[in-house]
Amino acid sequence: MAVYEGKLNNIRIRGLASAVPKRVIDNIEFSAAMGKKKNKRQIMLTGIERRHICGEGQAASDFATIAAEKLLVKIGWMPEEIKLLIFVTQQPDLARPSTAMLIQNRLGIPNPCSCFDVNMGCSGFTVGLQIIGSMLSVIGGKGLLLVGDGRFAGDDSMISRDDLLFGDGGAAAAVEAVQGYPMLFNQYTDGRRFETIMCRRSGIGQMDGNGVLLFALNEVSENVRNFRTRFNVAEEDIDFYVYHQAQQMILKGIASETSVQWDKLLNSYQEYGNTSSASVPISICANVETLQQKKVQRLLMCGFGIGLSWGIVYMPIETEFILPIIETDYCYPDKAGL
Amino acid sequence: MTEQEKISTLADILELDESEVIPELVLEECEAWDSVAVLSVIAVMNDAFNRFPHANEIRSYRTVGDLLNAMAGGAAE
Repeated sequence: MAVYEGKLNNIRIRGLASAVPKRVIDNIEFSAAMGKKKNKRQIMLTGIERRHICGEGQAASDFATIAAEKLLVKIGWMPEEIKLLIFVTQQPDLARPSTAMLIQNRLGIPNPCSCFDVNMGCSGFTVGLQIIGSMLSVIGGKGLLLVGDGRFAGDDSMISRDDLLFGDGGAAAAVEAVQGYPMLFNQYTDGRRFETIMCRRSGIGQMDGNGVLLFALNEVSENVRNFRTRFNVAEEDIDFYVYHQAQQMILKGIASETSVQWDKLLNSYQEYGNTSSASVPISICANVETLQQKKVQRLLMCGFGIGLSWGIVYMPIETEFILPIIETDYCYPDKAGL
Repeated sequence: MTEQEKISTLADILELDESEVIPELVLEECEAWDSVAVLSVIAVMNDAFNRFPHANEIRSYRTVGDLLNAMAGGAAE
């Protein structure tokens, strides 16, 4: 059977930034207003205490673009150097064209480049790294991987208890082809379970919580164990694990199944909840002080979720240009009235 | 944890009177047996019995009796 895995030797993440809305919902207060005991229990079990939710007019692309703008200034890259812009999102600003085109315009990136969206969710950052890494490996040069989702768009009403899980936000990774920077990765997809996490065109979503839990304990954990063996990555070669921030119990389960100490996981669910494709970079940026204790940290990043889709990217990341979380209430004017 | 404490814990999770929590009770027939209930049971295993059940074990929970048997120290494969 064919497997999807690979090793690149020339992909460097030059910097990473994440942005979230300034607007915060305290889950305990929100749930108390709902008056349901089970919500309080869910919050305790999932560990998600607060979520940052889109302010008026804000969308996923705003957070991803702001993160990219701040990052480009910090690392000293000019827009004309960017050859590739990929935006991983499930909430584009438009049905078509790709929101990546709007972002290209916002950032002032000139024409000789490729820009497009990728419709992926919770595994989106690791999938995105695989795509941008593979493409830059061929064409060389610099690119931007942007990720993010914004579900709530100013709407306070809680559709279901699942909504206590999700937060909004975006992130940007500045990626370049430079010799001597390894990246190991693999990816799995099980389309038979597409209904486990799903959203119809009408906007009505569904999620099988138990199905997701069992998937995380089984396939996701098994892949981490197999990956370490397959690529001969010893535990001491991994500084931190960064998992998609589904929720606390799932992460504790994965830590148990993969025989990893809890404090070796970088988390952000307590403050930001499940931020979809942005949850891995948000977890990195939320723990920047810890990470910057060393110049290079070897991270095993694991995205998993909707699809069902799951995969790993393992690479050393220089910590100099990891930015702390940016909070913003800004929204770009180009989508007004669209 | 005593047997009575286990019953009391499950009664709380399943939102039933303790008298209703009998080994033969089928979990799927309990209205409160949802994803939060499953997480609650796992949390009890984790906190009180120092183990996180594997996926296959969680899948095998059919009755209250299964949960009572699982609420013990050490891995039950």
